[in-house]
Amino acid sequence: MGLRAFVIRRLLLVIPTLLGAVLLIFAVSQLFPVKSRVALYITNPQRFKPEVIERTIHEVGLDAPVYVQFFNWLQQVLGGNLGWSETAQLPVSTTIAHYFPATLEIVIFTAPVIIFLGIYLGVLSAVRRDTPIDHATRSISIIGASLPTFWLGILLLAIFFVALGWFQPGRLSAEGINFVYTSPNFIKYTGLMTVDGLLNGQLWITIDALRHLVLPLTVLTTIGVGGIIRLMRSSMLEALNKGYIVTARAKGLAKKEVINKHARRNALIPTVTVAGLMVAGMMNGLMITETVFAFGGLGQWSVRAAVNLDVAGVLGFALFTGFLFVISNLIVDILYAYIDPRIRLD
Amino acid sequence: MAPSIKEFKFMLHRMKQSPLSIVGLSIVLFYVAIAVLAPVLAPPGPSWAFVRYTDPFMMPRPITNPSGGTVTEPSPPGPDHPFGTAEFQYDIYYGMIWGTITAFRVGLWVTFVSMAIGLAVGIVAAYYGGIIDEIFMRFTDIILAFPGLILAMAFVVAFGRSLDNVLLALVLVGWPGDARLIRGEILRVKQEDYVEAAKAVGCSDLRVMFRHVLPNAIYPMVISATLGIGGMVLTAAALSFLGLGAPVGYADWGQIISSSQNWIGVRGRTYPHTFLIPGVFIFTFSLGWNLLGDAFRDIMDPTIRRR
Amino acid sequence: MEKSLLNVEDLRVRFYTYEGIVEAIDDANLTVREGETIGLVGETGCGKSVTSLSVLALVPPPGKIEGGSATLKTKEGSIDLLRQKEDRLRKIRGDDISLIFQDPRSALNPVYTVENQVSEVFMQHRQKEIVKTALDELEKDLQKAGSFKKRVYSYEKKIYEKMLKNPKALTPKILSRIPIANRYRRRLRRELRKEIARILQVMRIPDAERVLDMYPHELSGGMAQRVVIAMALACNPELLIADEPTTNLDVTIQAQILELIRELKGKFGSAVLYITHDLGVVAELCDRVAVMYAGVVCELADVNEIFKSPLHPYTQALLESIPRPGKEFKTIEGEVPSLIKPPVGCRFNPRCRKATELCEREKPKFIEAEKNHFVMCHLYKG
Repeated sequence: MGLRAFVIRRLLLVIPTLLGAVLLIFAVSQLFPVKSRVALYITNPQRFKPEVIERTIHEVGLDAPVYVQFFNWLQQVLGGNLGWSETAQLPVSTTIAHYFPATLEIVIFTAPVIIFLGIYLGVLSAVRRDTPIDHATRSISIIGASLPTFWLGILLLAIFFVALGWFQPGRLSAEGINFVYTSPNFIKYTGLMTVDGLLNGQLWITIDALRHLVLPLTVLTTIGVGGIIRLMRSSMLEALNKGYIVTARAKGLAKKEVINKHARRNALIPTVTVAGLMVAGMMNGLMITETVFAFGGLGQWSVRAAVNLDVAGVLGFALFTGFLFVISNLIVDILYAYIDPRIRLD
Repeated sequence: MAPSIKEFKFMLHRMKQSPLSIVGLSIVLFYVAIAVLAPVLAPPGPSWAFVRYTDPFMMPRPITNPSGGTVTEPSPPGPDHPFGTAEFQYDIYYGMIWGTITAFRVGLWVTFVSMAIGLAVGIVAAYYGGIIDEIFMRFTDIILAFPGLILAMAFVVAFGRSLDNVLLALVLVGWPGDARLIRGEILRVKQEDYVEAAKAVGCSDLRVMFRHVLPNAIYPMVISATLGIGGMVLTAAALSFLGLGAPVGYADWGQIISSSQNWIGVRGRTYPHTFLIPGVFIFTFSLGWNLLGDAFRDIMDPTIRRR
Repeated sequence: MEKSLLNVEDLRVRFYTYEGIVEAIDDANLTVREGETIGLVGETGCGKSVTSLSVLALVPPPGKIEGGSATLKTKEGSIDLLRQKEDRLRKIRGDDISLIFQDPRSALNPVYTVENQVSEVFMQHRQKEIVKTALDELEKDLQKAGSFKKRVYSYEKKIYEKMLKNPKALTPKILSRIPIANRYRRRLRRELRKEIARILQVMRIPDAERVLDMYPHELSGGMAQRVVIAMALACNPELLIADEPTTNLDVTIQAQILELIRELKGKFGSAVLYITHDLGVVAELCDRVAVMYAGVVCELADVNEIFKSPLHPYTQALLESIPRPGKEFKTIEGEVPSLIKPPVGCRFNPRCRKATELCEREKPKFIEAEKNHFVMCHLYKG
């Protein structure tokens, strides 16, 4: 079967997984007392008030049997209503939409760096096995995997912010924030400061945003690149042992071409699947990094929600990230089928 | 020489060959020593402590700031406090020593319980196959559809903030991974020729499972477990750091760093001892286990063993 | 010796492993004459494959070639393959000497199509011809073209001319990565496809056009082996080294492939070094035979000579052990020695019925005992 049929089948499989995810979150919500769960259903804070809360409970059906509750909630989630966030004082869906661009901005810059740097170093490490380069790369990857994300962040802040003053926490400098949020000339087309700066002709905003991305990017890359390096290295070593490598060389191809064309694509196959998991790992790291650098993104808000026991906020965030994760796995699977034609038969 | 002895000697030789695995082992042993000797290295209830707790895991603290600042301000290392004090004057040295026990508790407990549940579920699913396996796969799929920290966070919020609940949450988030690993390995080993041969000779199902399948399927799990301990400690430290784990004053490395955040940049100072020292402990602890896990993987994986 | 295409003398290869130094090949001698089919027989592990890899300097680490020479007669004169630089060797691999292996499916890269992998050989060694043919066609199109197309064609022409002048030119390579600019490759690809389909048809692969777009896992074992042979013969090599090409295939397919090789020999005129452990195939296919044991070539002669009057005790024992109905089943006593501490002196001496004290002490030399009949044994004098 071709790639197209595979993609369609894979898309259909997404639906039950998403359903299951909603079910899981619903199950977790049952761990909370009824009064806390009210926030999941409504977006008008007036209805929380102690005077009316009993009536609200009845109105949203929280006194109905469990499966009815689930059905109601499922319906409303599909309609985009995730409840009310106490910490943000806004509906959850609005809050997520509000904070998402900041997080997206970090991911857009960080993910490619991690992936390409990881692949390059992994291949290098495998080809130059047991040389100083190999040892250096493996050291980087294992150190990165052992560093606490928050600690690295604090360390970098202490050095580059407090001691040297080169970079600051936050998403933009004070002038930048002032300009972006109060100036009538600045239109937020995308919510991404780097892009909006360009679109508005205010290059200094773009540069300002980039400067503030440097430290978070460094933290996330250092921690994340190690996994890719290790996997790429081991799958490269395996690929280099295969018969088609000798055949390629016996055809007269240069070593470099054999490595890059023949070995690497085969080695990428297991790496691509891990890349999908890496996206999940990034969310974990993002929560911490955004908090340390006060970046104002989804991760930072979710931590605040957790600390303040904002049930709707935490669960809404979990659902949203779960959804993102399922989508990214879908993309990874399709990429996998593109690279490895043997999979499409399945 | 019997093959198993020869193989064991080869294992040791390989371990000696790799300096990193020796480093890893030394680090782990170092921390084991600290954990065992904790009551000796940092006796609970020292003389300068004003507040003494019955729980040895609560860090002692003096009533005034030894270096003369306010009571909340951390003070740098000095005679009574070799590592200095954190916010509210908690003694960092004490926290490091007893925090080692906490770290082991987190790493080992979560890993073992997670592995035990995963083993049980995975074996059942792989053994019975069919509908049971399908249900199992769907269930773990759903849990694995969420990034770990987020789901753990949701559980902690639901259960209440405490270190024990963090451990529980990590187990709930961790067992599906182990279960899938063991299930995958069992299915793979089931296909191998030697299992078929054993059945052909007349071995009972149980014997096949325990004598042939499990010993070969369990290697990746052991490797993953050792590698996982390091990551587990990092995750727990992160949760404590974010304020979702151990309470203030508890001897937990992540928790101590949490309060250090408030003091970075205050009056142009960073109070490095409040985050450098606990951070180094977390880092090296995790590093030791990771190196050891790597060494195990290099040694035990039969396809990579021989040059 | 004047007709010899490839002359391997005193080849020595060692593998440096954890368990010790493996003396894989020790003073092996072999000649391949132009156009002949010579078989290399021996048990598994005797060093046949390593010998073939050594000729092309493709011995993988921890192996090292530590002695001897492999002289190849080329248009530019004789060169020692073991002392050439990588660049020079690459010109020879796939063009003057080709190598095919045992398992065809693992010899093909699973993630690329047949077309992709076969075109590699053409582009590596025959790039100039392909580009020239494409250029000629382009000239014809240029005559007939309207003004817009003329511009596109002259752009293509410039690239082709660059490729002709300098095969390693960077610009065409860079352009091939850019989406619209790389359309110049379309014409080249058409030419390549024609060439590849042609050679696949010579291999008797039915429906060659369709096979071009298939992936290796979609091919049967026999088909895959034909594709591998196609890759090997694409550039008309002087010597084809076939390392047990039919061992992994069904007997019926085996017969087909052997027939194919015989036919191709006639068509292409290349010499074949056929490595196998199957004496039956050797009897059918080969003009001469070399017998290998534990890393040394112990006998080399015409195929009839070898079967009629084998000189080396190992060859004699080998031929005696061929099972025949009615005859008692004979084996060779003892075991193949470990090559980490091989026997001093003649490597066969522990198992040899005619071994003498000299055989235990001294290594015999590779001598011409009778006309065109070489043997490495103390029993004979040159």
